Amino acid sequence: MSTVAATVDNSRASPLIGFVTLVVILSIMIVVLFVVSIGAGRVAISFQQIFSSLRAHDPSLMSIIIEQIRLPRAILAVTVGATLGLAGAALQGLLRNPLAEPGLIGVSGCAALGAVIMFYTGISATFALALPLGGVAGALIAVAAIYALAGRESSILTLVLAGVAVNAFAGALTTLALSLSPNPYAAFEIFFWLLGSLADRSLEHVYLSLPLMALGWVLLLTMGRALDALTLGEDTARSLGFRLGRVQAQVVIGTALAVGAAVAVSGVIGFVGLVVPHLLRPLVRYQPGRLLLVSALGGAVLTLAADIAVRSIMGGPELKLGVLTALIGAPFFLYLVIQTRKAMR
Amino acid sequence: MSTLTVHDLSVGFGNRQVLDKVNVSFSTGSLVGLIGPNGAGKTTLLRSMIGAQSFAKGQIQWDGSDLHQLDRRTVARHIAYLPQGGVCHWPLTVEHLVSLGRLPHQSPWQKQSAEDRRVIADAMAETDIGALAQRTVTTLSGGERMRVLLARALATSPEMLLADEPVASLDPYHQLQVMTLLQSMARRGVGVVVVLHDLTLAARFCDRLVLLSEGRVIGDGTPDDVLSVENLAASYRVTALRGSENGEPFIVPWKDLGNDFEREKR
Repeated sequence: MSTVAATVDNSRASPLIGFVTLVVILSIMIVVLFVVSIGAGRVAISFQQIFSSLRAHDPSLMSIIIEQIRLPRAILAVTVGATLGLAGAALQGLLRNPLAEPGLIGVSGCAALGAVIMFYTGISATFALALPLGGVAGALIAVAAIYALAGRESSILTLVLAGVAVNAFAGALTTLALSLSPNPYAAFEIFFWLLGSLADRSLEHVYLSLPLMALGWVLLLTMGRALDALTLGEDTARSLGFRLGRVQAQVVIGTALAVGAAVAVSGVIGFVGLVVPHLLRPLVRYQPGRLLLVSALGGAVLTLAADIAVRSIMGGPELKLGVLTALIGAPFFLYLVIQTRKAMR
Repeated sequence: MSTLTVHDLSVGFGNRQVLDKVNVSFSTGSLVGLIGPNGAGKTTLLRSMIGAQSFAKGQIQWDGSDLHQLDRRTVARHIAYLPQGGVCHWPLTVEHLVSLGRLPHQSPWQKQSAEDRRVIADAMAETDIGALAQRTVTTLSGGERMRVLLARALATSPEMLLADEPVASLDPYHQLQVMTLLQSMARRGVGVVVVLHDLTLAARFCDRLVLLSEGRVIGDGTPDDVLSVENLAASYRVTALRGSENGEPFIVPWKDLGNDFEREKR
């Protein structure tokens, strides 16, 4: 029957690229960009130097730059980017809404608030894990609030409005914390951290955030089939044997763990979770389950590339990564809104 | 033969009693029409029978065991559900959408087996959508879309299919086609419960009708018995023209009894 189907098919052309090929291509892009990321910056480092220094552990200036500055930055670009891409795809699958994005619906903002509170109260100084845990707690509250306000069969409008509300609230509280800050220098620090950046991070940041992120990834990546089933609505998904309550809880907790930990080390990097799933969705033929893994990989690719770009495009002070993704992402979001309006007519 | 039994089921939304002590049972191998006016509780009854509706009182049993005690995936393999409206949130390909019906038969990381592929191909052949396999769902007409969703339910190979108004948005040709398909499923041993508004389709195709009105079962039996003048007046508040063509009945709603009837009842 499939041969008949192929000849009779008159819809738009099917994607030419298979799922495995797509995963391999994205993985190769990550490896290449990772190496470029270590090489890029004020001090140019050649590939040979990167490999020899990573192998030998010699205490030269070059290997200090690589191990303490460039390597953590490249690793965080991969983990944070993967988190944002994956969380975007998972939230969009759960809410069946292409505009659900951790930054846009206030999850990143609340995670930032959680981290700021840890910072502000000084708890983060007493034990290091407090910062990412604060981020996770903030993100958890945000995802739960969004789900309560706009979950179920929500329209795009309700979701975005709920996001605006959560974002505004988190923003207000963060500003409050900033304005009450006894030390103006600390407030300045927090302000720049909020803009989202991967500069000047250490391997410590990687160790702190990676376990929580990895746990979140596992929770989200195993949701593929449930999200596929949800395409047909909640009742049908139930009738196909999925426990809706468990599915919802797993996506909410997975997103909170991964995004909360990511935001705690990188600040708010917006729009990655919006742009990446949208671009990759046609390539996996709109299957929400398959979109998860490729969005994670795609998020890492985009974040690595953007983080290389902020180091390369300006001579003066480095552009913040979150600013760059917003500069690209906001017009893209506008474009999506216009597309959605057209589709609704 | 398997049986889905509803005991004393009561469901309320706030102050409104949607189902009131409903007792009814459905067996495999027959096509049962679930009829009744808007708001009678038909959808609520179907949703209760797949475990999507919580209820205050009553019990639902599959072959004697409480539905809520059974493993969800096991229930999913036995009972398929086709909701009203034909929702599909993403523009999936027809083939992928139909393959979702196999989910209850696959363990989480298992790939499609030869058996899965065979059942999917059969379901698509039976609903005559083979030619649409690579089309995206959003490009289909209403009739094609309903057939695709029906194929998804068939792909589950259920013992019982609960279909909520599957012919509501279809033209007469496709209505007859879907009803014939449901009838042939019943002949092959599947239990089919179908919500219908068209009384002729109900009278012609169904082995048995269950008439719901204001949350209660007021008729349960052969189409002849259930579609009596009194029952139609009490539930739908209409009179109907009746007749037969080649021994098969038709029944056409004719006049609403409207306010006069309401007044007389008081």
